[in-house]
Amino acid sequence: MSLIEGNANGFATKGVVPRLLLSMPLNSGMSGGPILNARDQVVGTNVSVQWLSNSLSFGVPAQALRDLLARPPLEVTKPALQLEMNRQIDAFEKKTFEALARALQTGSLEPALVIGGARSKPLPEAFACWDNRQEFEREGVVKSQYGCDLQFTPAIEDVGPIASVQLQIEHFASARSSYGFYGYLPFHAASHQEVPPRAAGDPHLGPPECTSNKVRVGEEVWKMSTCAVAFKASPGFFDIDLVATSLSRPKESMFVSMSFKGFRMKSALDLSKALIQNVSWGEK
Amino acid sequence: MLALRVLREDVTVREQLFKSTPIRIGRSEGCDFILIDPSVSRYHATIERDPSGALLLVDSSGTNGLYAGTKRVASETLSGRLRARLGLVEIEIEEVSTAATQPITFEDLQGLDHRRMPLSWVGYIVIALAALVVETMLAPEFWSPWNSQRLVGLVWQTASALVALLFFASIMLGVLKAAGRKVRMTDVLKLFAIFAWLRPLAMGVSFLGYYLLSEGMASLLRSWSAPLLTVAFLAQLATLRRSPPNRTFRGLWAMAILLVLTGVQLTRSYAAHRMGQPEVDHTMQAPLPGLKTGPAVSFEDYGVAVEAAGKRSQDQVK
Repeated sequence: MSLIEGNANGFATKGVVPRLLLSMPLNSGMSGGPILNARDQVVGTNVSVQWLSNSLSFGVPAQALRDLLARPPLEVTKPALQLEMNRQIDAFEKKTFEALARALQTGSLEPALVIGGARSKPLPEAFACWDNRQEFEREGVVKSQYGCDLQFTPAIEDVGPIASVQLQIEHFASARSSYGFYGYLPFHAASHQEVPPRAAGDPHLGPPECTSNKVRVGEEVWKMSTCAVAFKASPGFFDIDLVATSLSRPKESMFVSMSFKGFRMKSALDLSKALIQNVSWGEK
Repeated sequence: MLALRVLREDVTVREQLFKSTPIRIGRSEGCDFILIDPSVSRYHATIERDPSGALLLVDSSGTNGLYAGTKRVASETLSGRLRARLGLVEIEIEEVSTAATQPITFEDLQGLDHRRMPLSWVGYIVIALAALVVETMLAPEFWSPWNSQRLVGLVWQTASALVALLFFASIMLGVLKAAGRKVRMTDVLKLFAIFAWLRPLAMGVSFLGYYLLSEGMASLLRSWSAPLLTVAFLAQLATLRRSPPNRTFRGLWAMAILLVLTGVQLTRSYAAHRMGQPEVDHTMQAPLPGLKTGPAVSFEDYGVAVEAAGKRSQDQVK
């Protein structure tokens, strides 16, 4: 048996699942091992490392372990495991929804995020975000992007990520044509919208079902398309992909795409509305 | 006055006028209308007046017989125009008048071999290609800022369309000729030219539909205009220069083509369904600048549609 020394750097602020931030190397096989403090008390268990780096690691706080141990032991039968899986999907979804809904309600517009010619309220701290700006000189087009992921979302083997939210805001501005500019963008929208084809008879997920329409949210008119995929063994939970294109201006276009995995329909729709209400055209 | 004609594949190859009866028809030099053919008897048939004054074509051959249409006859009364077969020779007998000039009708022109067309076949090719250029330029993709090779693409597309047009027109011409139609390249190209212009027209209509109709109706219009044009085009092509023109025949063709297209579409959507692809039209028609878009629904109403989609996915799981 060996011990590895490291520093605890407090708790991660991203995501809605509590994590210990650790400066110490972890390797595969060490997951589930105890994390001890200087007084040899168990404060958590090893869980993961930063991708492509092994000295920024994460641990599950001991409180979660205590809650788990307080639960009655799990039977090792298929229905019992399925029941537990459904309970976890439900619990994570509730937690994520509550945290995001609360943060989105209280978020103020100032200082606003500027994405090309679009603006958004700053997103809750739980999201990890990045931005990008690309100029197509010959075409006279500027593309600005802002993408966010909800960090530390759990995943279930085969079913995939649950309680996971991804968001992307894109702004296109054309210096020249407007007709052809819009002519191109539907293809772009379709590339956002594409639900990865799944083989018929996927053991865990139902077939994607889609709908699209023109939708007014506040001042903006969006062209929205949404595809929903039902979880087979967890009734009421879905993978939902929504893409919205704003059609309000002649030489600018805005895309918002959202992906909710392992969500109830109502939670996903409420969060979609809250997120899309955050986004608007900037001043001319 | 009687006109006697020898026909070959429905075309008159010889004609002779007779003022009086009887007229003897046969291979012998003693006949009034001589047919040099081994299947024709020396004195094969006679045209004479019966006591009531009616004209009769009477078989006098005995060997290969006289046919009116497909049935063998001993004699046949003449009225108007009669086609008869003597052995292997087809003749036409018609009572003609020198009285007054008869005005011709459009139907009279149908069977004529040398028709005048308003344009040469080159003209129709130019018209068809112009339609293609207009159609391409109407499409927003053409004006996309990302489409950097606009003109080169257009020239290349037009050149390949020219080759394709000539190729398909030749095939159609061959098929129609094999079906016994008296068609020429100009007929086929004219049809291509007319329908080539219907496509950009349909596009224009669907643009209008986007602004005037509801989302569903506009999308229905978009998805049906192209297949319906194809049906109309193929049905028209199938009945090209068919004599006599027949509505039922054309209708049956249209039905058959529609059935085939529907079958193809159903197979396609079934395959897409099997592969788990969403059966939804993602092309978002963007507005032309300055024009208002149609009514938008509220997010709550949209949410109802999303919930219905989710329920559909869920129902298919059970």
